[in-house]
Amino acid sequence: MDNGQRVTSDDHLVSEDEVERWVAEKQAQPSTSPAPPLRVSTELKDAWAVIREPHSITHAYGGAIVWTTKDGGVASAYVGFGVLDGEVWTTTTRGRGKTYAMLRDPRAAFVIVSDDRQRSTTIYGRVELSNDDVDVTRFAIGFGRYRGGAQEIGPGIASFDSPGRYAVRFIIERSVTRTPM
Amino acid sequence: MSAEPARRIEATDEEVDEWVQRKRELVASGEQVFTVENLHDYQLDEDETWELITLGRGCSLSWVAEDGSPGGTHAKHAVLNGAAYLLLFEGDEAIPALRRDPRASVVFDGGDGVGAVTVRGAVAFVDDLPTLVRVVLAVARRNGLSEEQVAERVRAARPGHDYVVRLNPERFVTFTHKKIFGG
Repeated sequence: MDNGQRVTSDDHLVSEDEVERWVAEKQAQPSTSPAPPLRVSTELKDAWAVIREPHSITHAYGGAIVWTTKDGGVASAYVGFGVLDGEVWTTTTRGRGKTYAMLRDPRAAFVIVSDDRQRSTTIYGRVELSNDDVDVTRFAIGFGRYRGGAQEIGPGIASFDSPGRYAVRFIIERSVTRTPM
Repeated sequence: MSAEPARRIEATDEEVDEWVQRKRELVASGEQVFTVENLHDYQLDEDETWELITLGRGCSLSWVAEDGSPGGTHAKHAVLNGAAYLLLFEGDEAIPALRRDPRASVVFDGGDGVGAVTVRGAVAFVDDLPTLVRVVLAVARRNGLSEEQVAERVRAARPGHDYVVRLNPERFVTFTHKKIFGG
């Protein structure tokens, strides 16, 4: 922040006086036909439009992968992803909770948001994990190119072709894509 | 159904063979390979965590569906009175799922290489009109809408069509790229 102070709440954005005024107005004249805030599509091509859009190198290439836990709960994590050979791939490593969870139950969801944070898609399906040397190396090269552009493969190898690494292929079964109206 | 129609080859078999061989030689040589495995070194403190949540431009809310499968959606949020409130809309799969089982996991993405925070816990639906108005005002302003657009959003908001959930955290998992790359 400009003054060096951390902003850790949005309380300053709203006053209680205006909340009271709006509540009184809405009670006197309830909304009847609000504009739909989102267009929702289950077309796979709309999901790919969000997944495939050029994301900035520092910002995106990431999304939230979602899996279920042993107790029937849910967990999620921010992970990088790449589109390799026309499919969505991500990665995990040995020793992580999500690795064991996804090996136990491969059902997964993946929430990917456009760079401008306006459009988003959730792809649903299942994951396939492979720690085979060839699969992981193929992923690392492709991921390096996806993130680094052109023919650059060094970063992918250096960052992701490490011991205990799994390449994770996301097999899409359905999608829900949201676009503001 | 998974693949896009246009197939793109990202790595040739020759390249893969070459790098597999190089990696085997590297591992055999005992040279340290760069890897980001110890996430404890890249955690945020409590203030940094809430700053990232507050400054983040949205979050990914996840839940368990009735058949036990995971679900997720992008949602707008605001941090008010020390808690994160998320805005959901009628028709969102999250609403029936979270009414049935409030356990949730939410990823806040700091954007621009800042990092991410995952909050695991539960959500509570807050169905009163003042909370809906408060959250819609805060979310609209957080997202840079003009005051005219803010008023339009508040005017259009309807209990029973727009939903607010409060996130009750049980566990935070934090990660910042800055501490890895010194950004």
